[in-house]
Amino acid sequence: MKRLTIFYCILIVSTVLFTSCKKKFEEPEPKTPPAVSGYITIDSIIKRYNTYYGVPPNKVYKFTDDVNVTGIVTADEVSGNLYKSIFIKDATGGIKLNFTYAGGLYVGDSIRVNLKGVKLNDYGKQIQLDSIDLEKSVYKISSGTIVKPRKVTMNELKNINVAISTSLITQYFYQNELIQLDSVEFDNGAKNFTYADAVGKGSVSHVLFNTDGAKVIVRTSGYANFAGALVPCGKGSIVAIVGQYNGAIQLTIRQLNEVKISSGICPVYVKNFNDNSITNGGWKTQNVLGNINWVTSNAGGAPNYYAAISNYVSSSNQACETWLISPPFNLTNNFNPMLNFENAYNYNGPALQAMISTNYNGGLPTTATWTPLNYTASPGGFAFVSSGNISLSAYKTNNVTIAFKYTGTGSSGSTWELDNIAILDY
Amino acid sequence: MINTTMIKKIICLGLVLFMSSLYSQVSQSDSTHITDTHSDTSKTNFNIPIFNTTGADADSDMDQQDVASLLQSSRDVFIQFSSFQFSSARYRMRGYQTENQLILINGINVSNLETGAANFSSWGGLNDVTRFSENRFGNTASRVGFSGAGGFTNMDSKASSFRKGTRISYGNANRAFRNRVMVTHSTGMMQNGWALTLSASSRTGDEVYVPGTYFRANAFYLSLDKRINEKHLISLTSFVAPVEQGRSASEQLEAYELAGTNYYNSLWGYQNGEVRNSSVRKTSRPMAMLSHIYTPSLTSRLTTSVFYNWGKTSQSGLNWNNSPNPRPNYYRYLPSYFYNQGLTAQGDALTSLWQNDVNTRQINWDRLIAMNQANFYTMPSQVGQGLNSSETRARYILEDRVENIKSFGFNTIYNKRIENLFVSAGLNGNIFKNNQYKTLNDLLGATFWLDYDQFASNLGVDAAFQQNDLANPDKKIFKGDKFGYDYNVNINKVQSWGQAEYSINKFDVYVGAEFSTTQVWREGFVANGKFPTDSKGKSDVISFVNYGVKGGVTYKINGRNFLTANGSFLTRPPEVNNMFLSEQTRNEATNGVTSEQVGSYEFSYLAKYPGFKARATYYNTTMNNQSNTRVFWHDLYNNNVNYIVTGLNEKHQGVEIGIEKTLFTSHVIQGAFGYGNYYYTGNAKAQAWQSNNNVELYKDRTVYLKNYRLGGTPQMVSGLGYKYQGKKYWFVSATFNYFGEFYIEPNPDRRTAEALEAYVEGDGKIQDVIGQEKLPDFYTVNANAGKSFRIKGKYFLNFNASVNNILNDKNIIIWGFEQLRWDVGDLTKFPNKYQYMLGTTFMLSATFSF
Repeated sequence: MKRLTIFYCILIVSTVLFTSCKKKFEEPEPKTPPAVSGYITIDSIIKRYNTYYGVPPNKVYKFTDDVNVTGIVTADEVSGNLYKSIFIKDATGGIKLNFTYAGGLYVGDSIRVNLKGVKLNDYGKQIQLDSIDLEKSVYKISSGTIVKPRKVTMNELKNINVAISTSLITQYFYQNELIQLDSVEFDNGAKNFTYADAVGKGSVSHVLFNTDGAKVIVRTSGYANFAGALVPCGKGSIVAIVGQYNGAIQLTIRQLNEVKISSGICPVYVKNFNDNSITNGGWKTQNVLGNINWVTSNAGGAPNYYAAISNYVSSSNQACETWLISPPFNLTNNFNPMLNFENAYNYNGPALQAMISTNYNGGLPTTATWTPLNYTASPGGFAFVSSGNISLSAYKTNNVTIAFKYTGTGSSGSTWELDNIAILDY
Repeated sequence: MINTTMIKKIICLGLVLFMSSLYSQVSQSDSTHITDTHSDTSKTNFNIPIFNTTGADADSDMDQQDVASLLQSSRDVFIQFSSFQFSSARYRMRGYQTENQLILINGINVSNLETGAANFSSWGGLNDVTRFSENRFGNTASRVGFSGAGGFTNMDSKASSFRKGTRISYGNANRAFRNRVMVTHSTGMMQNGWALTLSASSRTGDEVYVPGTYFRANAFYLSLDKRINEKHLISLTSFVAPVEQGRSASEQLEAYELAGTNYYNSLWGYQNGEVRNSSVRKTSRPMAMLSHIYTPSLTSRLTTSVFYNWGKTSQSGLNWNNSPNPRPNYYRYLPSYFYNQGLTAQGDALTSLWQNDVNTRQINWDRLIAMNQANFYTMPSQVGQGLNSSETRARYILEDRVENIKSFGFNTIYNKRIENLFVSAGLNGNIFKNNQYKTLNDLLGATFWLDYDQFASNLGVDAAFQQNDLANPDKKIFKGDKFGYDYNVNINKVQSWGQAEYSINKFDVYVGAEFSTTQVWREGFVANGKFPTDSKGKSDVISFVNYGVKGGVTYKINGRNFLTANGSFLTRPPEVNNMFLSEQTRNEATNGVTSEQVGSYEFSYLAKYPGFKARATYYNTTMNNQSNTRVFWHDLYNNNVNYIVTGLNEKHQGVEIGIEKTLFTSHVIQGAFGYGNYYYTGNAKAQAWQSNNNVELYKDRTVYLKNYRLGGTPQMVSGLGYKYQGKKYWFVSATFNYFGEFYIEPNPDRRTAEALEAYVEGDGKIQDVIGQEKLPDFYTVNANAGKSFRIKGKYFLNFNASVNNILNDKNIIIWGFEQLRWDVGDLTKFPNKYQYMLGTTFMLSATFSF
């Protein structure tokens, strides 16, 4: 009896003892933000660069006072195209910030950077704030600001900002800012190039041009998550950060979805007759028999011109054989070349033949070897249809000629119409 | 006299205590499948050494915190040495992992079906009620279940098996814990047919030896037996041992040198001036078993039991996103990283910081919190809906990787003696579910964490890729929420076995056999963005049919000398985590993972004289067709890789000798010697998969492991002990132990032709890549003393003291491994990691019993 009572006591006491102590940790108060003592705008930072480096110094400029710059993050590291660096902008311009380690700042964050200890230098004449300790020097004020790109033209990018340019650097308008270019196209579009070397992790440059022929470089890191994506063809818009490398404008894409240029199979050559000419661009016609010829037309309410031929002259059919011959194409560098054209016809008669040759050197078509190509023909009634993509991968030589052979007899003959003759590739 | 009301009171109190203990602890442990996504070193898949039982467990790469809880009360000298002397050097008898030993409580197999190994921490601290076990090592007959090469241990912890009495003990030590209190009371079998045993214990300690560690373990046990009549006994046994442990890790030599101590531990740091450990393991896995023991006659017995084992284990760890690695021992934070690039100034600066700044050397919690608190973040969908200067996205969190098991089963054992024949047979079944997921333990000052796979965000531009849960894209995770992954491992197993023992004049012989079927499948509860169709729902069922046979003979030369020969052969399923390419993310099964085969035989000579006993054994065991899955960061692929090695074949052979001689009744001299040769007998095959992608990197790559030694245990041990037994219930003893043939487990990826591609033939560096490191031999001296008093004829007071490593040698390496992450061009970048034996440690205890 007594023994059990002792036992209870021990058990109860020990149970109380056992269930004690659970470690709890207090969280410290938020770290004191970096000291505020004065603010500097981005354009004054550029000026400070000019002043300091105007006389060739023997070392890199380092901020020694507690001066601050504030700005909105316009490009972050999320896609991997930027690493250990971001871009910010304020009312006076934009600048690149380089950190000692990566991560933690996102587009739309409003930040204050204490510049004490930060280096001011340039890389390829692009001015930057360097060696920033993210943890010690950067204070995030808020997040979620909408950052809209400024719509500019390519030529505007190349305007020199005389006010802050010196013999040391050429400072452009929009330098380090987020911009949008419309109606631009990649030089290498649809040629099976990737944005960067996703395997070897190398950076790659591509030329972007507009309809006026102005060009800028788009440079992408092999660590970007879209490094392995194909450079698209066609026209469209692009949102990017403007930088420079020794005077050459260089764009940095933030995210792949900001390149709104169509992709897929793209025309590498188009003859569309919109210039109301059969022969522009090196095209020619050849009469093997008779003198019927190809003409341009916009009959039937077509919005622009197409090519047409008919042997029905003066109320009768005339025997003829007339060729429409392309200039020579070099397809050796294409990956998967294809021919596509639109065609329509009406009235009975021999079918239009699409032909290809690799040894035609001008003159009468009979001097060369031609192979007919199968295509989807119009059902008649002047209805335009696409020929379908006709593979030319068997003809990847440097002298490929496409021709359309029209034949008419004395008793019959169709009217054929052709438009948008294109070589495609992807 | 104790009346029935009294008993009811006791039962009530006991139940209340027991139940409250179950609910007071929201904690758990025993995770063999935890994969740390950031781990540089990966998961090391080593089990508890046999006999060195523990509060830690399986995949731990550490030993300092192991707490011997199962003291093997074997009379075999070699086993005694293994349990009490060699275990501190991580010695595993015969090089076996725990899954080779059958562990039973009241005849019920308590091994985890997923790993095949028992988790000793489940009853850690209940020494008083588990110390009486029948255990036999090696190939042996067993009347309680089918055991293979490692033998079996059956703990009898039924209330009716304990003698009436109360036992209170207090222990003080400087090992994993500082204080231990144990209280046990047994009524014995009372006249009314009831027997009750209650036991409770507590073990606690903060930073007892290794900085940053702590240990808080409680244990509660209740057993109630009712003898209905001479033939029927009903027995209920239940226990729970909640353990919470702040852990330590193995480190590379450079870190030990910089920190100036061989007990440097990178897992902790200061938060607000207080020590906080990032790697906390919590376990609470209650077990309840109800048995009916039917004894129709003196020569037969039928035991039928049902059991239920449930509860959680959790292991905490840091996780981070888009931020620098928070671990102080990350290779880029070590001076060598800079010295190797010729950047002496940076290296020197870092060396000075490591030596003088605790926040460089340890985790800087305050910094992580400050970085989180400053990280305002607006969800992509909410940009433009007003500025956010209040909600922050966590860059660092502390997460818990949880395993929540439910295991239900039945067990029947029938024993019958027919003159010289003793027959045993059994049937058991087990339904096992393990729900594995992560929960958020601490946001470290941030408002939320986003449920993204940060490694997947680099894979491509599809935003869905990085979603861990496609049904809840961009999910904000708050404290306590599940995230990351969530799936069940299901295992159903049915086993039947039988054994016959027969004795004739000079011979004892036995034969036994076992047959089992196992079904395994995974069931995912979330669709993962990387594997949208293969991550949610049930996988195909993987089935195994296994069998085992064994037999043995004892030749009794005379009553004092015996010769035995024993052997067994069995097949068994591999560990479940080898069956799937990536258990955490998808249902796809691994190719070529089939049952393992274990064959073993041994010959022994035994002598049993008054004052002299000896045993000498030769053993030879092969374990074939084993597999091993690990996840680690692969430098070449710049990605986490699931690395699966199949067709691992091992041989364990050697000799064991144990001798004990008593001189002049009070002097006892003991000697133990074990020399083993544990090695891979053939080359294996490796396949590697990108873990966040279905990309097979390669397959059927030959791993040239043949003749490499197995790591993790010394293969040579020897010990010499002397004990003086005083006349007035006191003793003192001392032991000298010597260890050798201790190797580092080879990293399979370094033993491939592909790993050597960069070298020309004859390049001296080839040896650096493929050579196997042998750890230095070492020795220890341990001592024990004890004294018992008998007071007034019925109270007993017993004092015990034990001191280990008396020479205070702090340079003994008892654990090492090659990091799986390695750099072909620079082996020094990810060097081997080691762990040292503790210096002098002691344990003092006083026990009062009545």
